[in-house]
Amino acid sequence: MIAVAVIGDSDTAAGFRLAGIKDVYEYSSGEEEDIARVLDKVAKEEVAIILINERFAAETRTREKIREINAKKKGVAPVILEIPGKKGPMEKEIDEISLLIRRAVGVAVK
Amino acid sequence: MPEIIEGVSPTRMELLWLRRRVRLAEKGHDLLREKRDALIAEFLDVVGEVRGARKEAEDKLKEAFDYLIIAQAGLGVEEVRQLSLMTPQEISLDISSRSIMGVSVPILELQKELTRNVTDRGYGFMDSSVAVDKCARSFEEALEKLIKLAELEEAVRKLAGEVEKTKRRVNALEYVMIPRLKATRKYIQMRLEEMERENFTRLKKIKVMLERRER
Repeated sequence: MIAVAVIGDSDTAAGFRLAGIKDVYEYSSGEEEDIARVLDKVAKEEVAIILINERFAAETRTREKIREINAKKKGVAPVILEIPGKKGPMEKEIDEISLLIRRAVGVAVK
Repeated sequence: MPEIIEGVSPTRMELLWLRRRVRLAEKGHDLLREKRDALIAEFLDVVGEVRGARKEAEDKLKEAFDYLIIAQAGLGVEEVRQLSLMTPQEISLDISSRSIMGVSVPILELQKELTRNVTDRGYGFMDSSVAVDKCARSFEEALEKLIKLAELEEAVRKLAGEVEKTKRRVNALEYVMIPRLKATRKYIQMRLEEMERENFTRLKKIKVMLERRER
């Protein structure tokens, strides 16, 4: 059982390695196929949390994969969390949480 | 006017059965509505928490990246990378789940703190710098916050899914099932009454015919 795995760019990787995480997968954006493959592999290894760079997660192929993993999992693990990179949080038209709120409650809250 | 359920024969048996179904559907509808309202209340609670947690974690991560940039500027990107490879630690994370209204949401619990002393990190003092220490420390702190955030975001995701499902069921009952059952019930009732009237006139007619024959 692995506690935390990180998929990110070189800076994210260096930072989280410094924090002591061993399962760090370093990619640069654009390597969607590799990222999708490594997501698959990590998801099979019973990881509790997967931290993924939000720029990676925004890529179509990767987004698809994340959705697939979320749909397939039976228990609560793995939890996939998107984290901002070195340049700070990405400007998004609508973040996932607001989207979920609108779908669940019917109106946007806050 | 909602359509009636096809293939029901207008009999008293069907009518009884339909009445039972309407009662059941209405009870189910009430229960589901309550469940939906409770779920939404719970959902909004968690949403309030998650926003704060996200902000906190992102701020901490920003700080950590700032230190990383400083460390990289001082030592060089490659050197920091080399150092980072020397600092693994055992992270023991307990993952379990709890149930909110039948939705299982994760609980992620760290067994021990992630923040370490400088001496525990495993790199030498000679080739590292204060910036590296600060960077490592803020990444450790950021990681703790991210773990908390992961727990909350997953709860929001799960609850949202359940709210949606419950809402769909409530609406299906309210706007499709119950009206349809009621319409069918009414249809059978009317058919039965009509049949009764037919029977009544038929009997009257026969009576008249019989009386005429006797005469």
